[in-house]
Amino acid sequence: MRAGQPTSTEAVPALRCRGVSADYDERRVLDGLDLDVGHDEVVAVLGPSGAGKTTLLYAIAGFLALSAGEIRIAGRVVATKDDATPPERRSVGMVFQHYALWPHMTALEIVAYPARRTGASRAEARASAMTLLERLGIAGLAGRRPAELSGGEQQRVGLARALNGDPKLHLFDEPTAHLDSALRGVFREEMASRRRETGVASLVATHDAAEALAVSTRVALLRDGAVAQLGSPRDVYERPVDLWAALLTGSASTITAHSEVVGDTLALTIAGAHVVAAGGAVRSARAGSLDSSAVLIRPDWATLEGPLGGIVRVVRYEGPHTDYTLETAAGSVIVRELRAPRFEPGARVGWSVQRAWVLAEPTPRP
Amino acid sequence: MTDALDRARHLPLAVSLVILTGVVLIPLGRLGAEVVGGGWASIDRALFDRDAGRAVLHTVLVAAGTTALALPLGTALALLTERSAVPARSMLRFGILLPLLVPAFVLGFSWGQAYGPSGLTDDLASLAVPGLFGPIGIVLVQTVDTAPLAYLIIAAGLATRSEPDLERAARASGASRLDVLRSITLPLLRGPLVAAGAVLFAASMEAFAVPVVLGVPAGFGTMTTRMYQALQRSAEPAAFGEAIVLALTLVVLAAIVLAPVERSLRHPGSATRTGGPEGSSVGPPRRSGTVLLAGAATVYLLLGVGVPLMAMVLTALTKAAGLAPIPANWALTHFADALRGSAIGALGRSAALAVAAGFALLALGGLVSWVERRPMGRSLGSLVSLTFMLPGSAVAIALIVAYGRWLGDTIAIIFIAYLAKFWTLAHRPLSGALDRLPPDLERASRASGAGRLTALRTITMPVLAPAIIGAFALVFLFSLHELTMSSLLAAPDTQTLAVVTLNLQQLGDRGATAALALLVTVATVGATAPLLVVRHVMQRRMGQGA
Amino acid sequence: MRDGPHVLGRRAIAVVVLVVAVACGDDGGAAGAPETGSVRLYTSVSEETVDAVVSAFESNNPGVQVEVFRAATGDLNARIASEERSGGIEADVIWASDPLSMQAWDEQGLLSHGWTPDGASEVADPFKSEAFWGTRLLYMVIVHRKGVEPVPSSWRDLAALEYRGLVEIPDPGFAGSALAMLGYLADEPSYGIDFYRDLKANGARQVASPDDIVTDVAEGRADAGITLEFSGRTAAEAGSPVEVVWPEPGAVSIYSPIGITASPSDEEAARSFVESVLSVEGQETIAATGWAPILPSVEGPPVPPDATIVNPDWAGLFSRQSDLLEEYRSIFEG
Repeated sequence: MRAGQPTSTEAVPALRCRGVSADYDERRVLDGLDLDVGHDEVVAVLGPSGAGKTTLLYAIAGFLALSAGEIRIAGRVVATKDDATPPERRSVGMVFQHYALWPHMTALEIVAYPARRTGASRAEARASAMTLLERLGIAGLAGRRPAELSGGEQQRVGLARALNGDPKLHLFDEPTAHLDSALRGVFREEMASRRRETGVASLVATHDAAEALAVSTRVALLRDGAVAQLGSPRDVYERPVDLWAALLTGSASTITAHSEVVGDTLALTIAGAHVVAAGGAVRSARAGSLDSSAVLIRPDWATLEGPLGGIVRVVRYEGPHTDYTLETAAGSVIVRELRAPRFEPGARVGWSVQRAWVLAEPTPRP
Repeated sequence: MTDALDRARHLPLAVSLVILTGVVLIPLGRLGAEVVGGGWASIDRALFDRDAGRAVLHTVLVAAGTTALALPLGTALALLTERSAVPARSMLRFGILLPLLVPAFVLGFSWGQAYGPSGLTDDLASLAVPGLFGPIGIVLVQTVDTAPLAYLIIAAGLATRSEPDLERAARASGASRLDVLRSITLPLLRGPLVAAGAVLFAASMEAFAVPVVLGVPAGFGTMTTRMYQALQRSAEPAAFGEAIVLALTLVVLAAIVLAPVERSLRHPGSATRTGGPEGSSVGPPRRSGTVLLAGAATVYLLLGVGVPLMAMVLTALTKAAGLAPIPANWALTHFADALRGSAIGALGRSAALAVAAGFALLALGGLVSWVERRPMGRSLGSLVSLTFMLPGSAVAIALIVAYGRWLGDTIAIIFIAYLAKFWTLAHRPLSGALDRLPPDLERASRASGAGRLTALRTITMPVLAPAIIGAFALVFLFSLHELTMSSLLAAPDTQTLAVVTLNLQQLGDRGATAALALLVTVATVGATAPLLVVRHVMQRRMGQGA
Repeated sequence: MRDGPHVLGRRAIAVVVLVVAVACGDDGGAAGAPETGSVRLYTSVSEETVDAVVSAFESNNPGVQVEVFRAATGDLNARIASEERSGGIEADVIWASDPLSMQAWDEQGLLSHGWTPDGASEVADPFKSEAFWGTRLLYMVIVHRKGVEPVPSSWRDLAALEYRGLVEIPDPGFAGSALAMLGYLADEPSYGIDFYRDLKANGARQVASPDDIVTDVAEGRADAGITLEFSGRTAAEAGSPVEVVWPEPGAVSIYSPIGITASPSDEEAARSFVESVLSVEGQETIAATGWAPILPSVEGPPVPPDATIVNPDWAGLFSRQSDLLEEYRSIFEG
């Protein structure tokens, strides 16, 4: 995880939030939030429902006033406590959670709308809209109204519209919340392929960990209106800052064990048995050896067969893999195997860990 | 700079308050003051005098009777179209709402022609409705007239309070159709049922057209007909005093009946959301049963509206009373008589009033909808809802008391009466539509580069267009129909078409009355139906509920 | 001519004086035809007749506009009373359907005096007063459905057992003709107001207007009733199965008076209108719409030769009308 330092004017961050606080319905939703999105980055904002993801996007887009802090888009201040640029002049492209397609317009008219607002003639706007629709593979839908489009088609029209203003920053609000799994996959592929293009600075708000990890270059975990952890997808998955972050970013089991950090490895003593795994500990827990701390084990970090003992309680076959919930002396562990089930519930098995991460209790906020 | 902006922000609220005060609060206040000023003696004389007291009793009895009939009827019809797999559902819905397009006067008058002594059915099959001219007839016709109101409220309740899933859950738990109705649907519908009952009762209390056509000839008067006769027939000043006491009494009665349910009626919601391909059916269709019920509903519509209109057409065409209504006896003389003299002028006047009221109330309704969403304006919404409860006769008399000296006998006072009475007709649909408008639509347009006004013009207004057209059509329609207030406020040269028709009826020229009533109905439907069709098409294209 | 400019000059002056003299018109007993003006007419006369008379007047006097307010007598009464209460009557000319109502308005001071229209001299004395003049004659008769047996031949027959519950009479509070009828019968020796008690005891129904009675009789809701001869005759001519009987001791004749209000907005136009109604042309228009004209020189609808017609004692009735109405109300509206 490297903090990108802008070295030239082209590398001005697309978004810079400093100390952003915002209220909604008399509740403080954002509280002193700091966040940057580089000009070629996709940052996922991951958090549970109600954490403030949509509020953050609305504040950036200009639909909400700030109660403190500053927001800059492409270097320009667009919002402070006392002053705010109106939304239409902030140069963001937003894809809304429920798509917000205007029911009285055709797809083509919807996508052409932003171009019309910059003064393009109807013909020009429609031509550029058509190009975008073609790029997204939905040219055939040009004459249809939203009521005649499926969820995935609506999402693409919303995306095309967001692209058509040539915005400096893209905002996605729960983009796949209402799509089925096949379409979700399509969206992630699209985002991944777009990452290779320029001018794609994006902020994606989602409550789906897998999606956040799949589409972004960095993930920000949002808790209580501020960023609790910011890092690459691997960072937040392998080295979550606390238990809450661990649960947010993927399937997580915690066991009690005695652990000792040795360089890049952990020496673990689990119910008397010794295992050495790759990994480390959160900073506050790093000093030397720790007794009975909570140790994070992801399903793909544990294997069946090994010196540790456990009893199979639940077997979950999910297609590409089987997850076994083991009951062990150290706690409940989920172990994943990339194959069809080979144990029944009740079987005694051995297991081991290849990687682990020692968590500490989350420190209370000052 | 900020001062001027602040003041501008309060301007809509101020304007709304001023208009509301002028149109509603001052007249009501003056009415109250007059009654209180007249002292207990005038109230005593007005209410407890034998004739007047009887009128009050008649009003309440007829209202109770109408509610007792129309509420089950409206509920049954709503259950039929919203909960069973009935064939030709949209046609049935349209038919059920059809009586709303027919003026109440026409309904009452045509029933007289169809089912009265020596009416159509009497001539054809020696069948007449006993007591048609009298309370029984009034109750029957008002039932047909107001059942659509109950239908709308209950149907909306079925979609929002007693959702199909709740009923499906009961069926899956072992309840039969009847069990579900008794233990789930009706209890959940309690709110809408009470609200519908209150609306029916209040509507019947303030009804004028049907009692004047079916009640007065038999000597059966209600509060509204008594007020009319006090103003139109009587040369004595005391009669006017009685009229204002009756007016205030009507207001008080209406408030008592409607105040408890006013809140629940504020945003009735869309009545006919089908929600998914499974629709709203809750169980497997019982073919024979539903077809039978649909047939019964159709028969009700035919008997309630179809046959009477036909009888009225025959009366209009048959050239003299007592002749058989066969083509050999048809002529257009009644139409010529009807269109003589004041009718044409009245038509122009009515049309102008209806259009002006439509636009004015769109502006007022929109203004209030906008203001009541701001923190300072919330109480305005409750004040405006007062107008929902105003009985027409009371509004007219209050306006005479308040502004008679300056505006009496002008068309302006009739216009103000329409503003007061129909305000909610425009306000509620607009308010409801604004509620249902997804806020993201405007945000998306702002994010796409549109300023406040551009977003309003290109996004908000077009999406609200069906609601706007619907509100306009409602005000337009009701203005054209309106008889209660117009008959009390009209001067010789400000008579509306409805008043001219009433006068013809009072003078006993049945043929001409039928002819003019027919023309009025056709013109009203002809003018309003296209608006509703356009609205329907717009809604279809935008995927909004019917 | 040989005299040149000055003769021309004198001639010109003469022409100008002549033109001015003509333009000023003269102010004799006859009102000159006004160039422009307006007349506000309140009337209970039937629409067809009023329209015909008004349009004839307007075409003879282009530039004069006539505004018509038409309502039944009872409504007219209320209208005038309410206007009186709130600042003065707005009508210029009142054309009523019975003399009792007109007299009542005269006694309230609503009509103007001191002028007599041209043609008034031809109106018979019983049919006019100082402030109003009859314009046509209406007859109250019995109407019955064809085939009804026995055929009623006198007013008394209407209270007979054979017509129990099958007779309708008009409301004197609504229609002026009914009020006149009440007045006549109240005075007639063998009838009196008790006749109405007999009618009521025999199940007679009160209906608002005479036209309603003809319709009800035609359609079978009643067998017979008291109504205007005009209504019965026109219905029969249109094909309704009804017949008119001129009953004994006489069909009651009523005259329909016209008068000018005390302060009309345009006196000249109002006078001109009244005179046009009483002119031969006006009377012929009235006769053409089916009513009996007041001028004996103009021919009206035929009256059966053996019919007896009676004129009530209007002068005597004038003072008793409100008492009569109250007594009637107590009988018929209980």
